[in-house]
Amino acid sequence: MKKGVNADLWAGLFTLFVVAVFWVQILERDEFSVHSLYYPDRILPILCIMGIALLIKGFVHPTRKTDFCKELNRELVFTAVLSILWVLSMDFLGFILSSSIAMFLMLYRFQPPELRTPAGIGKILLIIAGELAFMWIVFVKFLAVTLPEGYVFRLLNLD
Amino acid sequence: MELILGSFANVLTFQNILFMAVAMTLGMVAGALPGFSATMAVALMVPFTFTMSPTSGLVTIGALYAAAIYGGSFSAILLNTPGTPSSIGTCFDGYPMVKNGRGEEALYTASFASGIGGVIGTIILIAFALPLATWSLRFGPPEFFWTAIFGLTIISSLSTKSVLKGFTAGFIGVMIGMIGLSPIGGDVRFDFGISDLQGGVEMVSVLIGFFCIPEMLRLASNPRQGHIQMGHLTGSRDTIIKSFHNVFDHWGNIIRSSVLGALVGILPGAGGNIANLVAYNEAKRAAKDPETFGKGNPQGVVATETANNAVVESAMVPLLALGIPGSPPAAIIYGALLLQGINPGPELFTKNAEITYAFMTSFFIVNVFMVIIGILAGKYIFKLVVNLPTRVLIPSIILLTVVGSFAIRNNIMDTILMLSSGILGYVLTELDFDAGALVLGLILGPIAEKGFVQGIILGNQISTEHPWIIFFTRPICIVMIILCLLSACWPLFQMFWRKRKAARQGGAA
Repeated sequence: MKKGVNADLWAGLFTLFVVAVFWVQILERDEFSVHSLYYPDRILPILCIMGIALLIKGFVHPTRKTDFCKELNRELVFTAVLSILWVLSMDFLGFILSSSIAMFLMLYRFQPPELRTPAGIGKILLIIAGELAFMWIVFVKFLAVTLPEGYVFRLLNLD
Repeated sequence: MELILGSFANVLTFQNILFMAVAMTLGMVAGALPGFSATMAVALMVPFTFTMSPTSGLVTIGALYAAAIYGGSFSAILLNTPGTPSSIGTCFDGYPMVKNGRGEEALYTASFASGIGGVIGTIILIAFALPLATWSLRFGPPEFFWTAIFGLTIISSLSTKSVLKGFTAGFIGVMIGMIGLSPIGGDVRFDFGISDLQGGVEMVSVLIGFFCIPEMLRLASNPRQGHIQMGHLTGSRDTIIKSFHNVFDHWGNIIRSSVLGALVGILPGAGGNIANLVAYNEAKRAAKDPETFGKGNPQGVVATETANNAVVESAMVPLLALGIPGSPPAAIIYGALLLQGINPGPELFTKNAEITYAFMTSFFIVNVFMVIIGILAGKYIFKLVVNLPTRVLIPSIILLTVVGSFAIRNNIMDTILMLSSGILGYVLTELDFDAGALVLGLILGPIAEKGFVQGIILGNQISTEHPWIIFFTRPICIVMIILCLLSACWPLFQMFWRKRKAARQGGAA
């Protein structure tokens, strides 16, 4: 029988990891004023105790999750990785280019194989153009948001 | 009374109604766009009101502000993404209603609830502006500290799976909220050496990440499922009537949530972020079926939407009566008043009484129109989302979250934070951590810290050995402590009563 993931143990470890990350940053205490440390100095120990309590619960009376990350499949990982690349490339490629590529890849992958025809691809391109144009008009033209132009467009402008 | 009736006549001109209708439509769009706050919408509208008469200008800005807060419910319900922090609580039951195929009903319920919440908020504004404003000044740092702690105690009833994990998530949120400049002291803390984090994490980005991205990832695991089950668009009278009954058959919830919203809204620095969560918690606590909350109970939507719309009007109380802007949109309205040559403060009710009462009474009309426009807009927005296949909906929503999180500060780091929060949120919810609790910590943490450190500084003037005594001796603090204890222990009381009832029934059998 499948035992499942010990959710309490992992939750405890995660909490202690968070405590460690914040704790390391206030090790050099001379850099901070008393008032800046007053509050974190009280919250971090409480969080640490909670992490330990979760760890103990994980050993004594664990919550086992047999359905942990049950949706995790190739499509989900693809979406997560592509979204990360989309955001990271936005500064370099610019909003329009990075969003067009990421949306095309996502829409193409999610398209049922029988619809991956020239007409289907045409539809995808139309959706992308329509949505990006809408976003551009609303955010850039009406709301004066400066979306990343990217180096590619800047180079083209220089030429 | 004559003044109020006269101000109705001032507001109900063709020109004002036209301005209000345009402002409300724009406000709803702005509120529904994740990352576009009510503050930004109000700020953008102010320049357009320069040339208007003072009454028209103020009425337009007021309409936009109210509609932006209401608009946040669209994305909260349909996409599980709070358009504004005031709609966090709406996600808790609005999105489950969508998943249960009751999306249209949720939208209409939110419309009716927002309307009535706004109307009650307006009544409170007109009737009690001056005494309430004076009362709000009694709130010093220790009282604000306990108000934030009271908000945090909501976690005990929010976390249905594990209270320990709920509070742990809340404290993690508090720690994340400390990233950046400390409110007292001014040091840059916990920035991980990243200069973009020196200004702190942008709350709305994190909100979008924690609530929306995990849901999108779950949908992405099966992108060819056709359409999300949201229910069918009927547009029929039945759904509207059902939604009407969801709201107006529960006057207890309406009054409680509106009054809570109005009271929290009056406090400078608090506002809709806290009010909607407090109202949600109280509605759950008072309900006969608390176990259905979080699973698509319309009363959850009613509580949050009445509260956050009552906040809009009550936030005007300290501004109009004392000249103290208690929230960022109120600060912009303060500027708009000055530009019109009106000085906010007690004199406003004598010197410029006509304009002031016209501004206040305009909220009655705005809230009635908001219901009508909201139902019409809700119908078409719902139709659009329902007809989009999941495979198109996923990239479209991710695009919206990317642009929305970037637009807040024109900073790519906010978008990276949004996505990281989303992926972290997915893993944390799988470990039974509650995303709502974490976000609650993030919102209330900075308020609690400011109150705590300022309170200690104040306390030093009373006793250098025991400065913390100030938190336990002031009358409002004592009331707040009792409320905190009751709120935190409520699930325990409920468990005790249930066991006792079961034991009695067992004994009788």
